[in-house]
Amino acid sequence: MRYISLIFLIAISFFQIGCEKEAEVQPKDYPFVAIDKLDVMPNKYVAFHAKIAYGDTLELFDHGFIIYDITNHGYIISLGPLSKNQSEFNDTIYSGLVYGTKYYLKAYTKNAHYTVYSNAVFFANK
Amino acid sequence: MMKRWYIIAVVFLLPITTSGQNEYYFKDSSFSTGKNLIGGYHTSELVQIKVGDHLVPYSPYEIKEFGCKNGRVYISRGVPNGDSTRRVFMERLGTRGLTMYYYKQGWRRHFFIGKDSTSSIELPRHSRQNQRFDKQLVELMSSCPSAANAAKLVRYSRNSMAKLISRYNSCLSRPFPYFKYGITLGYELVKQVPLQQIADLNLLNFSYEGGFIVGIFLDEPIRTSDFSFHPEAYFSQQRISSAGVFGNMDVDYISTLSGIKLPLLLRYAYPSNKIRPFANAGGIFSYNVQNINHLYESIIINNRVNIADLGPFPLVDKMQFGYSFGGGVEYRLSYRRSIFLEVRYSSVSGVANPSSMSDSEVTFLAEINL
Repeated sequence: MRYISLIFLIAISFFQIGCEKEAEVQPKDYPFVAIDKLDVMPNKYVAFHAKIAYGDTLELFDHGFIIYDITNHGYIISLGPLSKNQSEFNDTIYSGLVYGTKYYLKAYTKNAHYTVYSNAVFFANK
Repeated sequence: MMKRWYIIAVVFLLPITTSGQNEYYFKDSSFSTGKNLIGGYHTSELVQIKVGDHLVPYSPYEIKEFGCKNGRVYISRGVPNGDSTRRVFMERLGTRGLTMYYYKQGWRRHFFIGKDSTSSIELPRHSRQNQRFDKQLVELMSSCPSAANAAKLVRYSRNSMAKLISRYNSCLSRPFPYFKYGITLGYELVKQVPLQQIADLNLLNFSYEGGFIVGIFLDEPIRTSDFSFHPEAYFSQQRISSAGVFGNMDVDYISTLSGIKLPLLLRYAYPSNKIRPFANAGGIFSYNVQNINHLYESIIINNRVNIADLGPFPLVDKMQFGYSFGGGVEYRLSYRRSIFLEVRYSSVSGVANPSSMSDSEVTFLAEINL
């Protein structure tokens, strides 16, 4: 019985480690956004995940991302309005990327007062 | 006649020699005492005795008894050897009341118990009736309940048996040192100490942030004393978030750490009965399985906010090492089970990169042995 309780305890502990939520940025009066995950499958897709820390009551009327190539030529993809309670979003790009090219990606959010551009994440489509 | 002189010598000379930390031996009918008489090396089959400038080995057939500087006394006694007997040197554990005799042959330990050396019987780890030695000791010590309880915890080792015999003979009601293991639960407050090299970090105020811990502990008495080696292994998780506003710049630091911590402590527990205060100190090793740190710098110009992540980079080392000390109380629920409550302070810094962020930790612990 003693050994069973010890094994149970260790199993719970490992489970807890696996389920640990990451620390979050303290909410701002502008819709703070940061890309925290990027998944690249060359010539197939690029998926990203962004977190938002927002403490204001103003609606977010737009969000999306901007993708730039190495020459700084970029295009914006708008994903439309976002609920102000939403703390994260993600998207996947399946086409439009040239094989062998390096890119960087930024997420953005907008409310009536601010336009916020996230940290840049770099990847090579090869 | 010779036996009578031997008894007289033991009764009158032994207290003098042992209290003076002198060494002695009985050889044939002669008794010798002095300093540095006995060589440092002796086994159950020989003892080295200083004769002139030389150390001469003697067998248990030649020496009846000898006493060492550390107070240990060895007696020559016959033990069964097939159909015959042979003599070995046995250490006497306990001087009055119940006495135990002990010798070691290779890795095998032998204990004999009785009122004196001639009437004592062997106490094997398992008897022929497959009764464990501790069960036999409980029966033998039933006249002293505290010693009988201690007999349930005793190990088949010299130090543990010597302690038990001394407890029985004085019938002292005190906690008996024994190996413990159990569950650790607690709450940990962690404060990260920023790196001097990164200016943005130094702008932030770091405060203590809490998280629960869960793990296991061991407690192994050192030479059956009130000191013990107390290692623990527990899982801890910390989520730290700190922010600051500096003109048109916001700085945000977030850190997610979860992993295993291994404090390796030396503990002293005061030998009181129901509530035992204790103190411990030692080293602590941390391995951060999850180690995610970000330092964001947000520049606000004309209602446009540009965020830069100065990480992720190894702000916190995956492996950290430091020191730990604390104190608390042990509340004894029964002769075997206790609850331990403790407050502990620890400080750890990076092993591979000593200039990475260090942690100072205050931990509130509750432990129970199984």
